[in-house]
Amino acid sequence: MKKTIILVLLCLFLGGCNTNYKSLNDLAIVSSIIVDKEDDNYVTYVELYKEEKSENKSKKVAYFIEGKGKNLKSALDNASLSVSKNLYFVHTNAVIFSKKVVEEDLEYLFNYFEKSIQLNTNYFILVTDDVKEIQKTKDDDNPILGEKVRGIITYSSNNGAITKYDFLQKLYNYVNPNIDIILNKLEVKDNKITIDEAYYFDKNKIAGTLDQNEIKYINLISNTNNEIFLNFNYNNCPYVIKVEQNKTKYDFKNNKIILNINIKANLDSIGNNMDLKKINTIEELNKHSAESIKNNIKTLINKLKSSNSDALGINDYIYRRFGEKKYNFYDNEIDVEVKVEITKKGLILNTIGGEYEKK
Amino acid sequence: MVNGMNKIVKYINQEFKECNDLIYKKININLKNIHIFYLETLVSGDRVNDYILKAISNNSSILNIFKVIPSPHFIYIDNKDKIEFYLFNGYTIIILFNKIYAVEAKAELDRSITESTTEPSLYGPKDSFVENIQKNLGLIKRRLKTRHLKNNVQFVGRETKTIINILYIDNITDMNLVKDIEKKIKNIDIDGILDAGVLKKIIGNNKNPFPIIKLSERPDLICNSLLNGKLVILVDNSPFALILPSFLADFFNPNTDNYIKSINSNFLRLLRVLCFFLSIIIPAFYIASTNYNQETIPLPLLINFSTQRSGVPFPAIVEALIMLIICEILKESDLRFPNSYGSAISILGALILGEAAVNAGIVSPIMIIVVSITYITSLIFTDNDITGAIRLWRFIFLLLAAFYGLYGICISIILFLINIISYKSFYYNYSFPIKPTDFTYIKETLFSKNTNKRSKYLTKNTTRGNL
Amino acid sequence: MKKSNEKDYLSLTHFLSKILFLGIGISRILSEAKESTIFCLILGTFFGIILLSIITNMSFYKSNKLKKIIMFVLIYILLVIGLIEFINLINSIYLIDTNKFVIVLPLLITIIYTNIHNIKVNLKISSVLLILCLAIIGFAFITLLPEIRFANYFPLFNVSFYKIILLSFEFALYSVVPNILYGGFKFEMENKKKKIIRNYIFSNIILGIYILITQGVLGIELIKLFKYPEYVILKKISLLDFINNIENLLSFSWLFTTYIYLSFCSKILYEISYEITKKKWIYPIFLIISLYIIITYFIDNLIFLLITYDIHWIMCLVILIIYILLNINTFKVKKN
Repeated sequence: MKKTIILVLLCLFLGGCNTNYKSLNDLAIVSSIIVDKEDDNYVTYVELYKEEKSENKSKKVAYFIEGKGKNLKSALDNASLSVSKNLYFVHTNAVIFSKKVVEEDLEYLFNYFEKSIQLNTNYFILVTDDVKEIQKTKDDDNPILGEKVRGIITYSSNNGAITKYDFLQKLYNYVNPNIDIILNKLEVKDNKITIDEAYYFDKNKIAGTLDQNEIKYINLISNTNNEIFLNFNYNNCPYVIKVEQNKTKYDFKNNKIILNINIKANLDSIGNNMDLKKINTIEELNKHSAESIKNNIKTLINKLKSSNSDALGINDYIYRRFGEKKYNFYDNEIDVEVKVEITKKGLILNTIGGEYEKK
Repeated sequence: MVNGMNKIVKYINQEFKECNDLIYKKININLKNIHIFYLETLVSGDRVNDYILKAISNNSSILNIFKVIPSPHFIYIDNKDKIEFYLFNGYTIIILFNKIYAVEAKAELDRSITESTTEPSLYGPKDSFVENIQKNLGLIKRRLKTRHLKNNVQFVGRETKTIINILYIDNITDMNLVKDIEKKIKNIDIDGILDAGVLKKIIGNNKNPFPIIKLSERPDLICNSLLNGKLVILVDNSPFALILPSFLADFFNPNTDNYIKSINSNFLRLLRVLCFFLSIIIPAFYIASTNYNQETIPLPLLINFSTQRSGVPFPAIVEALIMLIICEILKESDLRFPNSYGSAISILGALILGEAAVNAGIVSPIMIIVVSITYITSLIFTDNDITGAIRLWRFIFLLLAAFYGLYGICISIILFLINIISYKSFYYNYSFPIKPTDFTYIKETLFSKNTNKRSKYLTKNTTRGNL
Repeated sequence: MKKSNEKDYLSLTHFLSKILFLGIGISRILSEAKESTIFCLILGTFFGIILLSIITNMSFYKSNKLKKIIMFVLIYILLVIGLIEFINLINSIYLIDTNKFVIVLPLLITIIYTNIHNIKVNLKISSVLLILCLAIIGFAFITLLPEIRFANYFPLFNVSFYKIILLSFEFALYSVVPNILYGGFKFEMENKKKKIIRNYIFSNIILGIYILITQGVLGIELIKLFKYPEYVILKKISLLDFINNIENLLSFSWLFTTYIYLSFCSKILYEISYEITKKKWIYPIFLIISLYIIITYFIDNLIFLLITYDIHWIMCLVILIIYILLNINTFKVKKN
């Protein structure tokens, strides 16, 4: 026992040289980082948590600090000069790039954020057009930008209209030579922060934007989102199906790449004038939805092809399967075969004004 | 003949000159002188009257004094040096025809059997040991009705001559251990042993804070230990028995768990093991995670912690040390004070530490939570030595965590393991039954399940019965 | 030999065959063998069994002074290899800004404290820590299973056959070379060879699963970017969306592994130095001073580290060959 105590004391005396000690009071917890570029200089806006104390109640708020520098590191360092605490990055929720930075140095950004050991890997990266406005907008829902973004992506993406990947997964796609990445676009609409569209890339260049519907199909094909809601219109009757199970298979025949999509879906909502008790109706819905999905996917693939971007990762699939590039997303024709099977009607027994009521 | 008798009387009077409680009586019956000595403080006067004086005076033939006195403890003493011993053990000395006899007539000096105070239980037997070794032995023998239960008697202490009983069941207990302990006790040379605790200190290892001997006042626990192949030492004038060898696992759970269904008690048992480790590691983990590895704390908690700590002037480690030491002081003063004052102290402590310190901004509320969890978890253990060991290791963990963060905790876990694993309880491993692994004894201590076996490590006779 | 002691003894295999993969083996084999890693694991285990069956019968606890001094040097090199990875791990995940010698000191003191005790204490600690490590790894396996992308395992044949053989030999070297420590002290049991090989296979299966999970979660392209992919995958563990970032707790298993390995190395060095010098205090002083020099002049030197990263397996090979040659020599002497 004596020995143990001596050992511990020895450790302690020598542990005095430990410089890693960071007291909790000295931490400025970062919620999000915005990166912009102004005439060859990087500008970073770092969002920090702050506690506002009023009587008996304390409220979480956030504020931005700004820093400029020749590179990202110096920009962040300069930003930290205006704070009396250590910047603490581990709990960062989101890193937001301006469109300009992304267009110019996407590779540098990925490189910097991958190497930075202070950051964790589960934050989200997004692109925005207007850096200033995003900082100004104080949402009623959650005034802290980083948390707001995390909330939108993790909870609102249940309808399948947002890509859900965090930094590590995006990095996975980025370093993979056969996949092009998609980054969510953060924007301000009606004085509210939303994610409506996404940029898709051709290597390091922005190739164009994808709307919500297109993102849904990308998620559908790559099986990344479990719950995807698809809207269709059949004979002036709108209906929504919720994809419960999806399997995308690839076939390769006669120089053609065939996407085989098998969907098991749940009827989520439906307009009037439909008799759901008839087997025919369901079969027609099956057919109709399959046809519309097929058309939508085809237009999406054409769009991607024309802008030279393989955001679906089809080339990666080909590489994994054959080990060499027998087929190519850009060169070969792509055919789509879709089969939809509506398995459940949910709580809907019949629609208002359907055949059943006409009697 | 007469001269010889007078010599002895003179000798006794000389030796016990200033002992004012020595009663000397000289009776003359049939022209024969009978001398009676006893210590009035240790001997019941009624018994002397009833059994000795009446018997002697009623009978004409005192030649057969053996037959006359109706006491089972009637001893003929051949050496006058032994007189002192018998006198102090509550015997009455009778000198007749140049011969010395000792007749027992002890006074009831001890309290009656009461409920256990240190190891109370809802179920199970309520009796507990008292200060009388005979009664204690009786309580054990009443439960173990076997001739294999041996009690080896020794007298230790130059002045006290305390009776020490080494109890074991000869067909279960490892005889090497018995011989070893007998030897150890024989070699004790000290003026007095006043309690079992003193003996524990002498024969136990004092370098390591973890106890290797368990103290108990519950006869049922003692009997259970004897049946498991352990050795029990009873010390006169002490309501505690020593159980040895004891292992770390023995201190976790009270014996009373055996009287509940094992499924229900197992949950509690797991909880106690958890508490043991929590009590050691919680403050260290708090310090390490708030000062070095903040990423382990979820974000909402981290913000919460940092706002709570915002006004506190000390570094977290100083705060923790202050709180831990104050809590030690509180606990100690609560134990030492008489019962009626006790509540006052708790109120004072709770008010000052809980409310005022937080309001004054000296400590953060989260630290109070951490420290109180630490103490609540350590209060599960009743043995004083084990709480002491927990306290020491808590400080070691805390200090290493304060200087090295989680890495320090890792180092201290290894140090703790080395310490426990290299430690011996007599010649058994202290980390038994975990290392060397023995499932029979795990079922006995850490995880309750009915077994029909005894642990191989402790005894060669492993069958308990056919369950 | 008691059965429980035997188990303690065999639990060492798990640590010894895992240790050189920390920071060296896993990242090297995954980034070189790419998607064909699984073949390397299987072939490597096979080679490892062959090498191990040669080694297990050799020993150096009963030998002349010269051989002991050579063994001292070899084991010292092994100790330093393990220590470098340990320091780098701590320095990149726990204490980023701390001086490297300050990091190593508590560990060294703990190791010397362990060495004061009997070798049995070492073995017992190893068997206790094995259970802890297995629990941690099992927890990591279960929580990481949903994160695996099966696409990362394909295409299976991505590198040349020659390279696969070479890399599996490298794998075998990493997993076998630390096992020469078994020759450092006397321990007799029945079927020793068979039991050690059985444990070796068991530990290789666990290591293999760990490597494959790393591959499945991160993918080869990402693994190439990270120095400690085995640590980065732990970052992905998340429970109930609340307990995140417990990677620093889970990587305790790697710390325990290195501790067991280093303390075992050091115990043998301690015994050898005691036999040669007959003085107990020389070894701790030698260890601390020599490691201080190595840490300040070599480990803090990035170029040195980059060179050693590529020649680790050559060093292992050299150590293995010298060890085998030494033992062949003694066999011949006996025959004559």
